[in-house]
Parts: sequence; C-alpha cells; structure tokens
Amino acid sequence: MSEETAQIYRRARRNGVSAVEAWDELGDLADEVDWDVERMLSDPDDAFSEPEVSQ
Amino acid sequence: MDVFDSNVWIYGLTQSCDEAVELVEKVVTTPYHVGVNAYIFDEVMQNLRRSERPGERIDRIQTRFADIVHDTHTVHGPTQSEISRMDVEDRRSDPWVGTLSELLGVQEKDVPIVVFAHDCASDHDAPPTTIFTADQDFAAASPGEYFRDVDVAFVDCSE
Repeated sequence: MSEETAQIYRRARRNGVSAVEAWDELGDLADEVDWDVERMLSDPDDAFSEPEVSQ
Repeated sequence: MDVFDSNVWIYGLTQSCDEAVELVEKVVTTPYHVGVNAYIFDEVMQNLRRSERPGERIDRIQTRFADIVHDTHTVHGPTQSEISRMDVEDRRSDPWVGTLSELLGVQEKDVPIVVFAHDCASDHDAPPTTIFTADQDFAAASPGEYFRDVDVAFVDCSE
C-alpha cells in the first residue's frame, strides 16, 4: 500500500465533502479531462511500457 | 450487498462508460449497499495513479472517490488501519490465491474480490452478492459453483 492512498483516505475523513458534492465534482472533472482509462486499466508490465533504450 | 470490481469504479468515476456511471450514481443517490474493501480501494487508487493526466487532476479524482466511500452510509468501506495494512501485490502473491485462482477460473488479481464478495454475502441473512465487472473474462467465470452466494455480472464498457 502506498502511504499516498492512506493519506487521501485520511483527508476524506476530515474534509467534510459529501458524496453528492464529490459526484458533482467528478462530473465537472469528466468535462475538463479526457481520461486515459485504457492506460489506467492496462497491466503496467505490458502495455504502455516505455521502450528500452539501447546503450 | 454488491461489490464493484475496480474497473467499474474507474469507468464510473471518469464517467467514460454509461453503465458504470449509472452504477456509481446509484451508490451516491440511493440506499444501495456496496462493499469496498481495502484491496479494491487501493487497486482503484493505483489504477488512477497510472494516468498521465496532470497530477492535480489525479489527486482530485482520487480524493472524490475517497469522499464517496467515506461519506456514503450504504458503502461499507475499509477502516483507516485496513488501508494502511493493505499491500495489493502481497495479497495477490499469497499461495492460497494461486490455488483459488485455478479452482475458480479467475485471474489471481480477482481472487480477493471473489473472497470479499463471499464474506459480504455471509453476514447474517445477507442476500447473494453480485460482483459487477467490466472484465469479460472475469464475468464469464463461475465462482458460484464454489461460492453459491456470489454472482458475477458483466458491465459492458467496450464501446
């Protein structure tokens, strides 16, 4: 587990943002950002890996 | 109580698949009981982190997901200590995961989700748990052969 994940959850427990507000903001974010979902769901060891550079 | 595979959360949070959006919206706006354990929570966070979009946007989407899990009374989320103890790679490499993977016909990464779904259905007189997944192979598996209280439903995000 990354410490970052634990910190984000800790922040959510304290920030008082409701689920409805969060959902509304996710709608705004989806309008702003063309999310690269395929990359997110790819196996990090397979697709999208950087080609090795020969020395 | 139902369970969403991390891919359904990802498609829903990014609003890039109508069926997944409907499911997450149902979680937020209706008393629909969904289980999220530390494994699924961390898997969603790790997947979001793979995005190449600006870090500030990734942080926002991660935080909003955490808000939904924490603030929704019908989302049965993990505790802070469960999240702190979770190591997705460790969990996948447990010897029992390999055995169950072969037995259930699912990938090793999906075994902790099936076991969690079974745990959700085992509580008191809980109804069967449906796992919603956008992974066609996972959806084609039949863990119900061994866990009669677990169904798997396919969420079509192929378009």
